[in-house]
Amino acid sequence: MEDKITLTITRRKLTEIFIGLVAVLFASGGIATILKYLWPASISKDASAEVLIANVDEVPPGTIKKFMFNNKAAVLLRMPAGFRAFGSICTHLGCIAYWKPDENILFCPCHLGKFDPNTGAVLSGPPPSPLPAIDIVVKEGAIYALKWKDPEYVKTISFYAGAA
Amino acid sequence: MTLSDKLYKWFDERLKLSELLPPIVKHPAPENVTSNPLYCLGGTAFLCFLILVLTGIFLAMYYKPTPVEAYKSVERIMTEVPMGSLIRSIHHWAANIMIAAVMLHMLRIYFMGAYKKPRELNWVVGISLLLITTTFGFSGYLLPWDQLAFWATKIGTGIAGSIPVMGIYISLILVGGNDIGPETLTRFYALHVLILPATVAILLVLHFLMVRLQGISGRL
Repeated sequence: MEDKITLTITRRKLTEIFIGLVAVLFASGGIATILKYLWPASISKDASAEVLIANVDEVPPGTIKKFMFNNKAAVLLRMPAGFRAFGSICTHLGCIAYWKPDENILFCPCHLGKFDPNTGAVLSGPPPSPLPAIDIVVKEGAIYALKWKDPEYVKTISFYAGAA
Repeated sequence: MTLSDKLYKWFDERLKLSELLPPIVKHPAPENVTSNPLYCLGGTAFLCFLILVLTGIFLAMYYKPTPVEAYKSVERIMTEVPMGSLIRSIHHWAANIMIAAVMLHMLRIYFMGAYKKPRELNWVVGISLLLITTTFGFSGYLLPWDQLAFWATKIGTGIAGSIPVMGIYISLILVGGNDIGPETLTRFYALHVLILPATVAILLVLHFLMVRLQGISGRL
């Protein structure tokens, strides 16, 4: 059985390969266009931008306001010690934790995770790590979100992918 | 001469039916195939596909792929549209049966050794069809936009996102953003009603052509 593969390069074959490469170049333009089209537009973010969360008088002491930070659910709390902001996606399996005033906790309903509303630390339940804190600033009667307090930490939580 | 003979003759004169059709249509299946119901699994899957296409087209006339309307429109199909719950239930059960039939069909091919030379390529096409069928089920799962749909999609796109290196890009294009939202719904809808059916149709043509060219393998 003759199964030796032979390869002969002629001038004609070489020209064909070059023409093929040009065709690939043109095709890649089409594919790039489609990928660009499919690429989510909301991803383009500038990290330094201040995001207005609320006016101070919208959030009286002991209340909260939900907002979006880098396309992730987040929550602003007005604690006796001042304003606090955290990403509210639970670090356990990605449900949204919410403010439970009667117990003074951030509570994740999926598997009963409880977080400290002052620090984001895990109080009880299965979450493996605290909620990521968001740096905020209060100026001219309004509260702005600045950045993640610890972007390196946010990168380690899979539910915050693309947000840090 | 009856009317049907006349009609046949009219078409025959123009399309050469009597030359072209017999070799395609008059092709008796071998005895060992017709006597064994295990050989019906592939056909069952195909029948399910046809039913799914038909019921799917009707569902698409009432379904609205937006976060506000999706669940409401499914609710409307189930409660208000006459025969709506029947159409949707048929779609639901045909989808489940199709997955089961495709899996069993694959097992039959495997255990009967029907994937061996010269049928390797048909095995490859078959496995692609199997994967697309499961993707079909997965993308259809999101469309009712309820809690089950949301979390199943969260997990499914999370699995896609866990692929090394490419994962994050794949999940971004699939989800259409950082998190599941309106973009995800329309993307999955386009996938479910346009891209996947077209792909399945093309692969099915190849699948059936190869069955005819290579014949059905005998039993071991």
